[in-house]
Amino acid sequence: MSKPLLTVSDLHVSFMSRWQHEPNVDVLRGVNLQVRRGERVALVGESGAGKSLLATSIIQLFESSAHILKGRVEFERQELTQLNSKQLRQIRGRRIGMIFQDPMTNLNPSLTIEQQLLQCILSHRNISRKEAHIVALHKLRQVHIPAPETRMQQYPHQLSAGQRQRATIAMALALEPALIIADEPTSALDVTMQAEVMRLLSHLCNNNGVALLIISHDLSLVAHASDRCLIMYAGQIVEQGPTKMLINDAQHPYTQGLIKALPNMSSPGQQLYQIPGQMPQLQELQQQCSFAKRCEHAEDICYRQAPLMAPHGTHQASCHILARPAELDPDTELTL
Amino acid sequence: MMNHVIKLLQRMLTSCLVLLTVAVVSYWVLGLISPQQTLHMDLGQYLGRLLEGDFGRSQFYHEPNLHVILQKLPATFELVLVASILVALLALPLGFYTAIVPQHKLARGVMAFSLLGISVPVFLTGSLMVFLFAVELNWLPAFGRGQVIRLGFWDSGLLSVSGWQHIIMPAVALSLAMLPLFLRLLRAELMQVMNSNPVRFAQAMGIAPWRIWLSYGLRNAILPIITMASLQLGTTMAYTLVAESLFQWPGVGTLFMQAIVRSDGSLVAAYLILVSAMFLLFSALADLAYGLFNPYLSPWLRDQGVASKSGLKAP
Amino acid sequence: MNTSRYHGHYVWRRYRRNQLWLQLKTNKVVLVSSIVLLLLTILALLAPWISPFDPTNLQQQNIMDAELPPFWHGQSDSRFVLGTDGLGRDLLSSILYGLRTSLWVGFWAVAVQFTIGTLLGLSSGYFGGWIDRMVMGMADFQLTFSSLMLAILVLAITQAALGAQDYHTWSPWLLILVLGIADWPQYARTVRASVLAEKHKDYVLAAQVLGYRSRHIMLSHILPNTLSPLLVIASLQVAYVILAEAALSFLGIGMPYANPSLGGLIGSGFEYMLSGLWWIALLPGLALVLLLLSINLIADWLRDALDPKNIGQRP
Repeated sequence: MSKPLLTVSDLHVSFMSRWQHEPNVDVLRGVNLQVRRGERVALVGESGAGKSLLATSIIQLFESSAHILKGRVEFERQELTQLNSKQLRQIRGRRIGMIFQDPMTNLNPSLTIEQQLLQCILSHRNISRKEAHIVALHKLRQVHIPAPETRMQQYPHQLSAGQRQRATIAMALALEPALIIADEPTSALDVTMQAEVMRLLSHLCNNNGVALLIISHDLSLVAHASDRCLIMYAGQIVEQGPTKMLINDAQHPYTQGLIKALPNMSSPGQQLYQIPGQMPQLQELQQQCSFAKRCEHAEDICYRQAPLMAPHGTHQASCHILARPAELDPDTELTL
Repeated sequence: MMNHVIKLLQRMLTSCLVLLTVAVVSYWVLGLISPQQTLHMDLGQYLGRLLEGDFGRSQFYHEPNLHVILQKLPATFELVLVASILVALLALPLGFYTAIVPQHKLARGVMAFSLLGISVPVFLTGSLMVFLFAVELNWLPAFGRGQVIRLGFWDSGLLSVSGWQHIIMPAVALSLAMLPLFLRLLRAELMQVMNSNPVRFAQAMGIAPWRIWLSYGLRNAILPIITMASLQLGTTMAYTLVAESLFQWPGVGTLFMQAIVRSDGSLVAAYLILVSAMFLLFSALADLAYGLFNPYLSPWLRDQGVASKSGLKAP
Repeated sequence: MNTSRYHGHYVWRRYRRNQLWLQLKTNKVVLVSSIVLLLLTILALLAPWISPFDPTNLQQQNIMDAELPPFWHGQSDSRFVLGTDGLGRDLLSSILYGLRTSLWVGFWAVAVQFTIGTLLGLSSGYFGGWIDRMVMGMADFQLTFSSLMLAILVLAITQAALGAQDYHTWSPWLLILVLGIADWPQYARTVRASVLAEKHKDYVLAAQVLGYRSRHIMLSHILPNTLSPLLVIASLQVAYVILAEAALSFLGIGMPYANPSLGGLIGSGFEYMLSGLWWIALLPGLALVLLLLSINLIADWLRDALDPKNIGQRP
């Protein structure tokens, strides 16, 4: 097994509260994560779980009110939390490509596609504009943008949603990074386009040997586009494992709930399952399982002690109940 | 293309309607101030004469009103020009600076100073400057425009030393009154741009900060700057009038206030029409510039005026 | 559906929880400004009882007392703590009465603005169609033309028409009316935006489908939602109206001379400044700046504190 490309260990990130008398909010509470070279990893969780913050924490691009409490982010044998802004710039874009939520609005409306692509390429590589132009054109072809020569001369608003999306992916790929972080890359697209773009992204990374960290709230969308899957809840990873095994053999009650909540084509007309309750206020969670309040199986210990990640079944999960011999009854066959 | 023509025609029609309304109001004003003037002239005749370019004769100057106003126009124009250049030279760098490092002590100082600037009216700054530099130190002249050099139809005060000595204080006072408004709006706009998705994406792509400021900040701030300029048109006119009357600057603002005191109804009516026409012209120019700089929209192709694009306004 | 309902309550809860008060206690600058504003308001309200002289009473004026300097000056008169103006009126009393005038005009003009703006915004958003287009078109125009410029034109022309004597019996009311009517668009836009946002929410549609009258439900949601932005606009407008009143009085078309106002005092003091008697203009100027600065600081802080977008940044 190859050495991990990216290792996040025990990462705590906190938001400064708005009023001085209110405590700060710890949004990430000890996240551990590894991505190997060329691996496609999915990070799944409901909104507010801290997925996007994790993505921006990896490249150290915070809002002014967020800061790292403790933890390490190691990428290609460099500790990213220790780098200065100039060193970070060498990594951003060049070694780690980023696609943000709602990629349609990532492009600068007042520059043409070519100008933006060249800006990215020339910021990192010492080549002529002509050569950069050829690279840019090549990248646009790779993402299947029709008539790339004409599209290049156009402004973002002249492109369709799908094309803008592809142009963003081309920019993220432009410098052949080792890792691409895609934060809800398809959230603004319609359903047919979502699957297509996801497939494109996944194939491009696979073919170029680029590792992909894909962040989504939709388990079914990333199921086919990832090798490994992490489930995130309230600022912590609660279950992780190879995507197929995780879906077929979900251990954590939260993951089971997520899978149950997926629409099932084999029995249409059935009412969808809903995980009861809402995500807890993050200030409330100190010494307990963050899912305890919504968990059907919660016991005393769940409210007293935070569970640790441990192997269960075919992969790993953090849950007190699983550690017991008493079985959860997996009442339905979970298949996708 | 058809669309453009229709928008253009619509705009011209609205402008004409506004001008017609102003003309009717000015006839009414004329009747209020100088009733004897409207005694032998009904509204139709009045409008007819306006169409022929006859704005009547001033009762005080015994000259055609148009002539009187055009004579005073260069003074006002030059004052506004110099003040605007000062505002632009100061507001742009300061706006960028305070938007980029909003938490820095100096940036906070600049913003605190701008809040003070909003709270000190132009006539107070002007009075203070007159007291300091004209009365106490005797460095600069307190009143008037100094030596004027005639260039064809244009009287310029910017070609002589005495002209510059005279314009410094009114221009600085006017720009100090306008600067905080522009600075605060520019800063707010830049901060919004700097927190926008494209900028975040550019940062994530490892593009250098100065490049982001230039190609994202400046480029995307041009539109708001035009918007602000057009929104502040009326306020600038009002402040200019106050500054002119404080420094006895021989421009159209002073002319208007004198006409009021002298009950020169004919001149007041002509002033109303000409000021409205100028106002419409400038806001049309701002709209055109907005369209030219906006890659999303072609000129004139907008539902509403520039003002609707942003809820910004001077406090 | 749920979120909108929660939001309404949330706003009330936020007021109730008194976070503003807690913040006020920790923010030194705003705390000091609040105290200054409170002090100035109390002084203004009590002016008729605490000021040593009645500036409106001609009997108490003596030309022999004219141009006396303030107390720290050697030739001061103990009866006149801050000196006297060119007509022998006590400057302290004039300033206190002037503060009263400023706050009085500020309060009532903003009350008029608030009412007109809210009503127009509500009807514009609620009825839509041509009413909406007309109101918003007017708002655009008014916003660009600026209330100060409009007030200058209207008041100056009225003065020329009525003659200075008659004009000044009406001018305080006219001032409030013009400044009140001229500056409604910001309120109207804010209210309209939140009406439109609310109009398309599910619960309103549901109520309409079920045949209920949606108006009451809508109003009960819109009001709490717009209260914060309206409060911010109104507080900024108080400062702007006071500034405008001062500018108008400075130009001699605002408050009558017999009725002291800060702008008028500065205007009449300016002549004396040229002979070195700076206090006649600058002491009222100082009072005006103190008043405006404290209001602006509070309004600025309110805007940051009540803006939901600012979460995470300590104002």
